[in-house]
Amino acid sequence: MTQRSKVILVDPDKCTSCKQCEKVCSLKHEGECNPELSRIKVLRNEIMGQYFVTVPVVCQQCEIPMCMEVCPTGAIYEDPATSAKLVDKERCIGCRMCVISCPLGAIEVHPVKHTAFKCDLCGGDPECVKICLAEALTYVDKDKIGFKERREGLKKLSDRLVLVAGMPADGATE
Amino acid sequence: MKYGYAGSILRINLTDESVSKTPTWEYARNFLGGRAINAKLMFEESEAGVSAFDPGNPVIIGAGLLVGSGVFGAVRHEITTRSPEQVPEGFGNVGSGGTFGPQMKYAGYDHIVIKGKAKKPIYIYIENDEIHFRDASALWGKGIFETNRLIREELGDPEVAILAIGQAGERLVRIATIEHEYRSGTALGAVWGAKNLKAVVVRGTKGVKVYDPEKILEMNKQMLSIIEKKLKDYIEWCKANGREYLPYPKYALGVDAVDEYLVQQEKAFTGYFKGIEWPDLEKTRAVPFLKKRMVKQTGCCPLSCIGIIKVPGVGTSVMRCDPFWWPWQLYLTDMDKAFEATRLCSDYGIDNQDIATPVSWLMQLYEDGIITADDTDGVPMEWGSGDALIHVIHSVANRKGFGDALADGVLNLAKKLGPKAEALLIHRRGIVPNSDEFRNQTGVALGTSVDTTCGRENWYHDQIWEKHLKETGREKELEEAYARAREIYGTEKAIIPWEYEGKVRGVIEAEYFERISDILGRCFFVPKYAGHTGPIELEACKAVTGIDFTEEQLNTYAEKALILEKAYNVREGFDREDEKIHDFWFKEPIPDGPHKGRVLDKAKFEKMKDEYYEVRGWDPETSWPKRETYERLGLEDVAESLEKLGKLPKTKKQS
Repeated sequence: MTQRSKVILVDPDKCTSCKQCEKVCSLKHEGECNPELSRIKVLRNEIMGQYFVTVPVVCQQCEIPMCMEVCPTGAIYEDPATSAKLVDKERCIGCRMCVISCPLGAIEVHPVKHTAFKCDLCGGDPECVKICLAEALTYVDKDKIGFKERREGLKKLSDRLVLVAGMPADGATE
Repeated sequence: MKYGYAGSILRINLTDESVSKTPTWEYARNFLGGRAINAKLMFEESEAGVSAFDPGNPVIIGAGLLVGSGVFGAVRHEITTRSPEQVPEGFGNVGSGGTFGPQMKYAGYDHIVIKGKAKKPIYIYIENDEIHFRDASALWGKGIFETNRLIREELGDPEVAILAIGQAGERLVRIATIEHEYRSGTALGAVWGAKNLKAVVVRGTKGVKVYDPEKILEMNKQMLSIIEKKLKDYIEWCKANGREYLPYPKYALGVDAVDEYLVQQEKAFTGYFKGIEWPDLEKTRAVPFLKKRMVKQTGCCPLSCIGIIKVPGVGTSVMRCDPFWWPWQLYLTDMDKAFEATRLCSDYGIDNQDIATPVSWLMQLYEDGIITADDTDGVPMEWGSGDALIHVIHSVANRKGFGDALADGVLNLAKKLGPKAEALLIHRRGIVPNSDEFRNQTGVALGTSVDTTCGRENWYHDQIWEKHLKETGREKELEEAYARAREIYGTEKAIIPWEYEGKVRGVIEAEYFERISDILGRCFFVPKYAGHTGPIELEACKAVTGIDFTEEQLNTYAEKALILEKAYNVREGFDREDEKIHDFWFKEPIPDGPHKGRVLDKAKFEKMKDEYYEVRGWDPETSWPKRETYERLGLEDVAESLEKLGKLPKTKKQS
């Protein structure tokens, strides 16, 4: 049995914004500690004294990946072992089409290497999930999350993303 | 130097807006990092007698060796400057976790030294290599919350890390704080106000190079599993014993002192240093309040020890510095009101404890008829009055009415209110204690009296509360603690709070522990409560820098930090006379509770101090470090400069 069907499930309500996931991600993939180069990003929007919203953003390994669809060089492919969508650095031309197309903002172009980088699920054993004490990140079987849970999860995520991106409705803290 | 460090020390002069950078290495090889380099810079960059509000008083911000490396809990910065709160002024230091320390290093700086005075209100924006001096006239007069919002808006970047002062700091209120993401601590904010410095903002995107990333990942996971197990055990124990609990690690680890041993009535008091037996105590328990009002857990490492609280009609903020103690000190049962007061302090940028104890004192004076409502702008200082508390906060922060005198320090207000009021004020060099008990904690009392920063209480001290551990089914932990104490200190008495034997060693260990944490920039909760000690710090240092350190070496760096802080105070003219705690602790026995009747023994206490100075290599008569002690640490230059001022102890005749 492969790990084909697993994803990193995000619960923004549980995220404490400690950003340890960003640190371990960059240590793992870049060999240095640099949150800017992390594949997972904790976005926060806060007006002190009023509200505090935080959302970890990481690739959801979409069924129909927009990044893959729009890539002019076919640089994005699926890892058969984990179903993670990976970037072929040889093919990537750094055109940013994927960055523009991703609905979550989970793919970026490396400032030095000039090729796209994104979550590769650490080959099926994601470091960020292992360090998330608050369990805002869990690595779960797609089949085990029912349709309802996924829809609810997605709603939560999109609600929070709206809050992070813009001004929240009054009193939105939870 | 290749790994771990950001590389540069940034020097900023506000007077002429000049900037320079020098390599960290010049200091790192002798002082390692964080608080030790801060102490060295502080000693060098200032001269004797330069007041806290003088442009020549430097502000030094340091991020420790491990900060930004990805090591669990390595997120702290330390701010060193002359304390405007102490009477007379002395060495001041405050540390805090958050995003400032890591971002500072990602921007390329291990330390930032700020001197001079800006002509008009400004804030500094450090964006990697670029240093911008920005106009802060639109921010002047604004609270911390608004200041943070406006800066983020102006810079168009929600990720910037901000240190700022509120209105209190601007108005040179001596108990004003420097605030960072709801964190504050020791009051040093007025120094920034005197410099016309509203905020220091940093954004770094460069990252920190580390020697062994895989090892860091492995250590983090190891530590996490220990914490996870503690949390699981705690929740199970609470369920089995029908206790209310919060499923957050900090409670499991006993970080939240309130529902732990304080409520066990062992080491706290209510009112103005009165007994613990207060019938309404139950109404002020932390867990039920948090269950009702806490909306989010946040923090700077996976332990995430901050609870965001929201009270309808008041707003959102945190209950910082265990302000559940406020209700105890003021007999205040309205927890929402207590939160409102805390939130105000966070916004004005004032230290909680510097409000709580003085208000408790005022309420005692009011009860005793020493003051009337006329002394406090017509607001009666009645026990339990949230309105009185809030009136004090507003008037201090805005320097209005009687608060103007309190803004210059509680001792200043006491002198105005007369000798009776002053006689009742329990303080040490103008700093009031919080609700931590000294009379059954000899080590805490000793550590506090010799503390170089004139701290309120040295609670790093290694000790255990037997009754509490037994009551919570942790006999095993107790046995382990005693075994450890026998091994380290030679006697279990060293960790029994009210004993005198073995305490000096315990306090010295605590001083090392505290400073090593501050040099490495790692939150001491993490190693302490995850059950990790010295060797783990060494592993972390190796993984980050590639250098093999020994425990002895780390202790030496800690000792250097301590002696430089001490040397600053010696240069200012302090001696053993300044290392006292209030007579109250020797005279008034604990009135009730399990420790009823305990009081500190003056002779035994002074003997502990003699022993402390001897072990440290300091002269017991003056408390000044001896020349050979400086020399042993390679600080001949410091000894020389003190010699010229006549601040080295006289060498006794050789016998």
